[in-house]
Amino acid sequence: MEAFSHLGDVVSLANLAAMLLGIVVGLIIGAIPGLGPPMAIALMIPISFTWEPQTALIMMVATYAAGIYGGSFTAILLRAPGTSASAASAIEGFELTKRGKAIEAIRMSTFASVMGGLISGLVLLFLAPPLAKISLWFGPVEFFLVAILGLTAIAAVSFGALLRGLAAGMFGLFVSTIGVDTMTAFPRFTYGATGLLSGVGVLPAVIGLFAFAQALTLCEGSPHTNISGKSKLSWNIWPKFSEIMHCRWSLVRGWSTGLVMGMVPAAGASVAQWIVYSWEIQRGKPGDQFGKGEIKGLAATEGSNNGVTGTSLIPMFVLGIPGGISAAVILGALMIHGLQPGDTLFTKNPEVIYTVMWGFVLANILMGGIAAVLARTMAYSTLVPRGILAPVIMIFCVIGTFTASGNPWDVWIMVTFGFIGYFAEKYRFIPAGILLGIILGPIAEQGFRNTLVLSDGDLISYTATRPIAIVVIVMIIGALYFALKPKKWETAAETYDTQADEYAEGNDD
Amino acid sequence: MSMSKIRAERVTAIGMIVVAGFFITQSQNLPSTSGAFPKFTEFMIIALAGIMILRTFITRDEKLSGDVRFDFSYMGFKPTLVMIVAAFYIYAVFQVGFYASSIVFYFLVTYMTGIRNYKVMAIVASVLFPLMYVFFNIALGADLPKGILI
Repeated sequence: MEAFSHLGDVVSLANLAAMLLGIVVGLIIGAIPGLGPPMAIALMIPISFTWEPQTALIMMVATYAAGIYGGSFTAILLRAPGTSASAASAIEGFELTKRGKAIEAIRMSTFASVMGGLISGLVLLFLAPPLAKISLWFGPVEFFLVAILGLTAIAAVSFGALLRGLAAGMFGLFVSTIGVDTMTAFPRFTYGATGLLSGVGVLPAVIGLFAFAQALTLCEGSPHTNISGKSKLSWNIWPKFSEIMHCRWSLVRGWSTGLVMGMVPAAGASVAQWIVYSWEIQRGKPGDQFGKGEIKGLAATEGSNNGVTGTSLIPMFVLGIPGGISAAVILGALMIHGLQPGDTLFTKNPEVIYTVMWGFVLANILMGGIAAVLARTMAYSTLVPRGILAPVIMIFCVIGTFTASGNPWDVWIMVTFGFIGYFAEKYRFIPAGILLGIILGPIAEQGFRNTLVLSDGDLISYTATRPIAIVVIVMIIGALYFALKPKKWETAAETYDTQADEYAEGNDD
Repeated sequence: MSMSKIRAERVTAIGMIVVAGFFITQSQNLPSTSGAFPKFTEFMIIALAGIMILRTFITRDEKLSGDVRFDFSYMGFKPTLVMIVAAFYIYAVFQVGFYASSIVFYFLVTYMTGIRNYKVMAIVASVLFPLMYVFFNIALGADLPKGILI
């Protein structure tokens, strides 16, 4: 097979050095809330101008994979997701950190992400051209339904506060309508504020709802205690076999969801983590502690995060359709180096494309070792007293938000969502629901309105002719049914509630 | 100060209805295609709030028993005070400059949370801010806000 004939090309000194550079830069920049993989990749483009195309692209894809994982560091350790793709991991990951299990969370996260990226990279390598056709099957109605499927996750992540969770989701959907309507060019709810014309960005919202709100929560209670309640950390950064076996099916669900959703342009990466998280909650068994630090929940979301990375590059390489912002930046890098995406890339430049794909696979393996050590170093932040950590996180939120967009309005939006997120968490309005609404609102609204146009108003007949849409509708009905069905672990968790409260009280002096 | 959870649920739901109702009136000024989705979300919020109120009359959910306590002592109000300081901080970032206002904000909030170990505060600041400058301004080339100071 042609792919194997280029395996040796990837292990040149230049390619390996570029890969390592991409991994380190991606991990560090991905960890800072607001910066993320697109910025990391964009920063690397100028330094790669004079490089060989495959070396440059290996660095870009390594940065992408590492950046996605890097966002999970701060999500797990500080509840400050570096990217919106890590928001779901922040829920269970940070709860594990609060229970003094930061290192366990990090090593499971590393394993899930590395394996997810590896499997995704192998799928990219061997199945890219045939799978690319799947991306073309998704039209407006499918995007709309995938967004609705993502929104059903709100019911699952409400953890017993269903009405409040749904209200939070509706609030998020409403917020997503602020700004200029892309179809009519009419401003909605901007009240003359020019900074609101472009709407409420996902990045300021995720930083505010999670990171800034968490910093405000850290201001409660004793300032001298730390997040984890521990005074030292273990160096056991490699997952135990028993831990992997405990989470094996969660990992499989995470990886498979990421692989499939990565091929859905635009919507896939945002939705994958929430779909698998709600799936995991629905599959919970008595004794599981979803919402209070369940390692299986973290394994699933982390598996899907990096499971998305390889397959999200398939539509970009094969069809020239970027699946997300990071893929769009990589597409730009591809064209800067004189390459055109599509079938010709595989026929005229197989030595480039296959080497890059092998580079992606190898980068995920190397990322494991580097990420584990880096994450262990970053875990020291959980030993810092809350009174000092809180303002530092807030300052990083401001700097990250401003650096990402250069727009002062985004900083104000971020802080506003910080206030909203703090009170939402306090009064059980589920910040994750608000975020889901903001992320999926534009996709849902755009998809719905485009569908109305394409179907001439006859939605049902139009949808009935599209098999993918019917499959997604069945999935939505199933997701709603299982989300509303009482879960076995929730009854057991009510007993744990008392224990968790006692632990929290004992932690605060 | 405390309030029964049932009353708190009703007050919250009424608040949601009022706010959603306000935005429904705002949505009336939008063209029909622009206003459809916002109105859908607003009506859904009102419907959910209605169910919340109804639930307080007809169910005996354990989660609605007991009281909600409001702590207006300094300890309970600390996060709200920090929010107020944060709002001034954001304003100052764009008027005074990012680093100058961040240093003041850092010391002020650390003091407000109750830390009194000034040596540790100073050591952290002396490491953190130069590192931040090197990383963001020099390495990333970020153009952070400047005002009358940096």
